[in-house]
Amino acid sequence: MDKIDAYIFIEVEIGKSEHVLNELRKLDIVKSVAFVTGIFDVIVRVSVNDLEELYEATVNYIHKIDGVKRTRTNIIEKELKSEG
Amino acid sequence: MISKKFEFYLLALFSGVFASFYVLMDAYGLKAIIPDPYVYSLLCEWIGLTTCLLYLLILSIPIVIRGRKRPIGYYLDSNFQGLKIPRGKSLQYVLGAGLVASGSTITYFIAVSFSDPSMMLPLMRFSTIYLLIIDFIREKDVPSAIEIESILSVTLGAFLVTLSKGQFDPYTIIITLVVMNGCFTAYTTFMKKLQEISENGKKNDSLNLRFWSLFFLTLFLSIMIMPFLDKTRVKMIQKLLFSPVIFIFFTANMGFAFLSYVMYIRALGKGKMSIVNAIVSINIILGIPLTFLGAKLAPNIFESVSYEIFLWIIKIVGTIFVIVGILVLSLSEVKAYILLRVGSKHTTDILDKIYEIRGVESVSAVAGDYDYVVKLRIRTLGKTYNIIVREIEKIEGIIQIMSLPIIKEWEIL
Repeated sequence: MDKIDAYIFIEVEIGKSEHVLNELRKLDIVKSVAFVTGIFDVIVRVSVNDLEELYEATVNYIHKIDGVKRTRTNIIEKELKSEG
Repeated sequence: MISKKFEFYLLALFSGVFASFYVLMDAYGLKAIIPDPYVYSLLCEWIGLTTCLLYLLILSIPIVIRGRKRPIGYYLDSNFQGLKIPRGKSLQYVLGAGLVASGSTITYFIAVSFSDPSMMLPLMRFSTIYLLIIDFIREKDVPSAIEIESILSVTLGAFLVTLSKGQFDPYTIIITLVVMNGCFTAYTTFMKKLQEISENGKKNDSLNLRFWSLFFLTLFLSIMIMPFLDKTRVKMIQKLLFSPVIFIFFTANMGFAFLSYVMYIRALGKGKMSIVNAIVSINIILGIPLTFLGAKLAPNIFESVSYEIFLWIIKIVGTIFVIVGILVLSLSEVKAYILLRVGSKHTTDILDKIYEIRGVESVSAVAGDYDYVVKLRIRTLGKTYNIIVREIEKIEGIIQIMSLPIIKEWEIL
């Protein structure tokens, strides 16, 4: 069974970045967390077994992290990637 | 369970350590056992090829672990499925790799025969500069200040380490910097290509790649040396071929080389070529203690090693220049996400077009706010200009580009 990967774009409240990072790192499905400059503050890459797991993670975990203002989930349909 | 990132660094590091071991052995062998680079390289490669085939056959033996039957080599490289003959594109690239490797091998042995590890190890890393210059030409790009600084540092360092008895040796410089490194650059490029292509959905494994490139290397090397084989050399080969000391020496030597190459190729498959080269280059430091070790163990053989402290200070400065140059070059990098929207009229697949742009680490077609998420990895932020303005903007159908430079990233590989 192939895994489903997704990018979650997060807007973070000012002053809560470090806390959000630490909470995100506790999540098993999180593969990378990147702080960016621009319209979003954090881009998280997750890898899940099914959409149910993605729903659980976003609604019941990420949305409840103190400091997360808004999230946008982009599910990857197809990807070309160099290893490493 | 060690993390993949750590594994990648360890692979590259040990590849470098093993490489410095066989350079020391070669330096000893070419001075003490067979003082003729042609005879030495012929014996070395033929015995090496035989032992390599032996290793590969042993690694092909299937064993059962946790109910799964796999060849032993699987635990060295998970793409390994036993000895297989390269076909199609793989065969072309392996042939090319073998040809250029034979060029770098013979020049390497010639150079080792009149130098020592402290000189050879820094010079062997010079190809990094060529790889960078190839990038500039291919990208039609202007080098950044950091890149120019690194190129100068490595080149200057390379010249300093070739300094022996207080003067530059033009012969060493031409042979090592131009021929040996030129061929090695081509070899690295072929190997990277071989790692990327897959036949019937199966990727090439490093063990087979090492064996087949060595096979063609030995073939081309033998053809190239043929005209130089006079009676005395043929006699020398006949005498030495069945000597057990020679056999043990070369088996150990090629064992280090085999490990070093397999680890190098595997690291290439896991990460960027420049980072692999940077980590491997740390072995340059080992050249100096190894040379002194050689001089201590066999003083009459390494008699050319000078104890003039001034010369060694210059050599150490040169070595530091080379290492710093390569490290700065490989470790200065900027990452960015680029989000793309395409017009609804354009439905053609642009995934491949984006992926072909240099610096693109991954491109994902997504369902959500945007249509594509591109991850870039470049040396300076200024280079995103080239990628965005000159490459991505030209792709038909893209109506919105949003770039998000990464200021800090945490990831598990």
